[in-house]
Amino acid sequence: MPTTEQLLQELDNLPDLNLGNDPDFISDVAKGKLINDILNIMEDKNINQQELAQKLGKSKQYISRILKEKANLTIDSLVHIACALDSDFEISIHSKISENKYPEESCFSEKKTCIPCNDLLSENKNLDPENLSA
Amino acid sequence: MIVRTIPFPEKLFPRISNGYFKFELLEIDGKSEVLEELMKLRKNNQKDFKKLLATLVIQVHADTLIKDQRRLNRGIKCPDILEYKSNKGSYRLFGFLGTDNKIIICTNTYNKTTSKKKKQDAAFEKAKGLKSKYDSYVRREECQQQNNFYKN
Repeated sequence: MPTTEQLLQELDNLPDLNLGNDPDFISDVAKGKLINDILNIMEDKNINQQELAQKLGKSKQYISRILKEKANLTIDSLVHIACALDSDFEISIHSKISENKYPEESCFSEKKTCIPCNDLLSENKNLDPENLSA
Repeated sequence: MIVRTIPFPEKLFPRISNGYFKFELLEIDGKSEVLEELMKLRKNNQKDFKKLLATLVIQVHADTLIKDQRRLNRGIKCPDILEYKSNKGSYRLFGFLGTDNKIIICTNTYNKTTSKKKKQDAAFEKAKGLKSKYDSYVRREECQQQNNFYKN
């Protein structure tokens, strides 16, 4: 078996994976994080799939499809889930920060805008970009 | 025998500045089997490698162990062993939590190509064995440090 040093030298010669520009990878991470967040809140609030489905007025199968990442979620449905779980909804797109300029940051650093769901609903705002950045 | 952990090389894992968890690789006597296995996967099956990596990135960002059982499985016979899985991929990465409960020490990988449990169980057992080696080494080092302290 090669030593760690030899493996690291070999690794240095391989091209970068360029994950920050790989939509499939970013999407996989984003969906997984979202599902994990939903599962965490469901556990914290002691809500099962059936109860969440009832709160949303949907079937248990709908929730199951979401948690199995089989459903292609819209911002609208995500906001409804967040509100049903009495939780805030966060989403953001931001420019990449040059690694040379800010070495502590990476393309996976989080920079979020927090939108309390209840504020959005009570003022009956729609989900246009202006409201989201407010 | 020298047992230690090494950080995930940047070419294998993206640099994440604000993660709660951290992954490290187990190394025994200057050789890391898990590093070699991950490099092979990266070279031979980049698609599956990225899928597995996605799960690890999700774990780094989470402040508890992943709840989604499609991505993280804990052994029934050995609950200390964590089996990280990819979404719709066959590769698994085994590891365990370090003493600070923040570092996940990776031990070995496994390519699940069959529904039969025998090979998967063997991979769990292998991880368990490597964890014991690590634990006893850490304990021995701690005892030695304590003895040296009292001698001085």
